[in-house]
Amino acid sequence: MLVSCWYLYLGAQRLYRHVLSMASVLQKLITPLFSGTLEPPRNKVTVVGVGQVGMACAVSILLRELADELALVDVVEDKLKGEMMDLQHGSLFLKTPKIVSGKDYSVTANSRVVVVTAGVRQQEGESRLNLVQRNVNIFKHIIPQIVRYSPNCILIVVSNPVDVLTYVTWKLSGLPKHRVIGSGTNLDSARFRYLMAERVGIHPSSFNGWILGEHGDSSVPVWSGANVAGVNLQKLNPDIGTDTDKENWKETHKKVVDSAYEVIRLKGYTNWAIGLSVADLTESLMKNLSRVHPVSTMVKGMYGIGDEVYLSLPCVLNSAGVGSVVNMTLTADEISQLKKSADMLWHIQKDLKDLER
Amino acid sequence: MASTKEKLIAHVSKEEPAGPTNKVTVVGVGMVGMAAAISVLLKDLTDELALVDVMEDKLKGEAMDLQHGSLFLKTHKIVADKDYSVTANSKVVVVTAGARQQEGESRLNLVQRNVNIFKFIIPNIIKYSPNCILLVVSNPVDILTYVAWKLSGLPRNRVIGSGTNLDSARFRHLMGEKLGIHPSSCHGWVIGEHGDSSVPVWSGVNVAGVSLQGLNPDMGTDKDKEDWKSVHKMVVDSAYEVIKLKGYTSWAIGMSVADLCESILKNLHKCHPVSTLVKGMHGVNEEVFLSVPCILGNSGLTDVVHMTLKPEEEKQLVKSAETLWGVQKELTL
Repeated sequence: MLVSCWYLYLGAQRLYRHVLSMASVLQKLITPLFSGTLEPPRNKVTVVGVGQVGMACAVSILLRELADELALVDVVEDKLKGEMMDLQHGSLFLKTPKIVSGKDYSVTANSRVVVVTAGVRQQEGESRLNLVQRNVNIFKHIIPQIVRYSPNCILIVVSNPVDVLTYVTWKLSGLPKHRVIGSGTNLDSARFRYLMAERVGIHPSSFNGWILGEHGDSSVPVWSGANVAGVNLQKLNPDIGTDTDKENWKETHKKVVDSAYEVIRLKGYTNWAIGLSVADLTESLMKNLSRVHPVSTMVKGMYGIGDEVYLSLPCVLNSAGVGSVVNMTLTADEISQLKKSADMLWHIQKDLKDLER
Repeated sequence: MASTKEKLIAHVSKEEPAGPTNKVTVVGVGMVGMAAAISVLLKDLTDELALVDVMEDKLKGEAMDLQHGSLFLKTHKIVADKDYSVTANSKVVVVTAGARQQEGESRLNLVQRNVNIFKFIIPNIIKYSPNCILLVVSNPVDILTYVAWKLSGLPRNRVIGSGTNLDSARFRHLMGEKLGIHPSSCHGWVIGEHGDSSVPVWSGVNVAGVSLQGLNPDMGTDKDKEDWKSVHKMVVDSAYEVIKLKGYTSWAIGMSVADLCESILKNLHKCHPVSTLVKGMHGVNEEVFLSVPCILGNSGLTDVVHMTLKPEEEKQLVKSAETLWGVQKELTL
C-alpha cells in the first residue's frame, strides 16, 4: 500500500515537472486571479471614416486620454488596417489599451460616443451644400449600423454639410434629439476666438465669442456677446461688426468663413483644427462636464423657427448628450439671420429622399 | 480716438517680452513632421512651435490649420516659413525632411538623396539655433544622424537619431499583446540599426524584473516553441506592412518623437534607445551612429548605458556598423 502510494507520488511529481516545462512563459510569469468574462469597455469611442479628419479626431482623442477603447470603421480595408496598426504601434505612449478596426460595425459595439466623419469632402471652391445628396446615401448605410451596435451612444456628426447631415443622422437613427449632435460652429467659434485674441494679444481661451447658426457661409457672429474678462467689446466700440466700423472687426468673421476654403486651397483639406475641436466635445460628453459649446442641435421652436432643422446654439454637453440649450440674447438682426439659415437648410432637407427608418 | 484694444487693455510691463523658453522646430511638414508636431502640441511640451519646408502653400496651410486649433492647445505661438529665421532660438529641432521609402524600398536606398537635402537644411538650422539639440528622424536615420553631426559641427551630445525608439515601442506593444499587459509594463530593448538588422536584446526582456528568457531559455532562437523570434521579425516588417496598407507611417513615429522631446525639454534624464556615436563601444571601430540605451536631458544625450550583450549580439552590432560605414565612406559631405 505504502509502496504504491510512493510510486503514485513519484509519478505525480514527474507529471508536474513535465507540465511545468511545457508551460508557456505567460503561464509561468502570471498567476491569474480573476477568470470571469472581461468587462465591456466603459469609455469607448468609435470614429467612422479614417480619412484625414477621422484620423485627426482619433489621434486627438487618444492623446487627450479620453477613451479606454477606440474603434475605427471604414470601407477601404487596407487603409483602415494600416491606420489601426500605426496607432497600435504607438500604444506604449498612450493610455488607451485597446484599438480595434473593421469594415464590420460589430467592432463598434458598446460605444459611448460615435464620431461620424465619413463621406465625400469639399473640393477646392465647392460649397458644403453641394455635397448633400452624395453624403445622404452614404449615411443611409452607416447610421443604422452604428445604432444597432451602440443603441445608447451619442452621435457626433462632422461630415459636411454638417447641419443637414446631423438632421439626416437624427432621422435615420431614431435616437432622441439630445443624443445627436453636429460639430457645427464649435470650430468656427474656435477660429473666431483665435483670430480675435490675436488682434488683442491674449490666449484664445481668454477671449469669449460665439458664432452660431449654420456651419458655413452664413454663420452668425454674436457681437453683443464678445468679451474679455466680462468687458463687452461692443460697449467699447458700438460699431463693432458693422460696415461703419473703422477698425473693421467684421473682417475677422469673414476670415472665419473663408478659413476652410483658404486651408483647403493651401494644403488640400483641413484636419488638425477640426480634430482638436471634436476631441474637445468628446471630453465634455465622456467626463459629464456640462460645459457649454456651440454645436448643432435641433432648434425647432426656438427663435421663431418652425421647421425641424439643426443649427448651432450654445449647448450644455454632459454624459446624456445635449443636456440643455442656453437662451442667448440675440438682436433682431441676429435672429433674422438664424431664421434665414433655417429656411435655407429646410429648403434643402425637404427634398431629400428615403430618410425614414 | 483710442482703439477698442487700447480701451480694453493697458500695457503695464516695462520689460521687453521674453523669448521662447522651450521652442521646438519641425523641419518638413509631410505626414511624419505633422504627426510629430500634433503630438508635441497635444503633450503641451512647448511655448513656441516653428514649421519649415520648401513647399510654401502646404506649409502655410498646415500652420493655419494648427493655429485654428489654438483654443484647445497650450502653445501660444505657432509660426511657419520657408526662411529658417522663424526657427531662431529653438531648444529642439526635429528633422523629418527628405524622401521617404516607397513600397518595398529599403531605408538605405534613400541615402544620397537625403544627404543632399541635409546639406542645405543643417547649416541653416545651426545658423539660427547654434545651441539646439538636433533630433534626426529622416531615413536611413543612423546614417543621416552621422551626416547631420558632420554638417552641423555640433558636439555629439547634441545630435540624436530617433533610432530604435520606435522599434522598441513596437516590440513592447507586441509583447504586451502576447502577455495581456500594457506596453509600459513590458520591458524590452531593440538596439542597433533602425531597420532590417536591429538587435532584440532577449536577455533584458522582462516584466516586473522577471527575466522572460530565464523562464524560457529558448527565447529568441529557432527552437523556441512560442516563437518569440517572430515578435522581433514583426517589428522589422512593421514599417513595410503599414506602408503597404496606408502608403506611409506617421502616428507611431510622431508619438515616439514627442516622447523623446519630452525627456529633453523637461530634463527628465530618462533612458531611451536612440541613435548615437558608438565608436569604441561593443567592439565597434568606425565612426557610426547606432541605437543604444541613452540618458536624455536638456543638454541632450549625456550618457550611454553599457548593456551586457552576448557575443552574437555584439557581432550583429559590429556587422551593422560595418554596413553603415560602407555606405558612409562613399558620401560626399
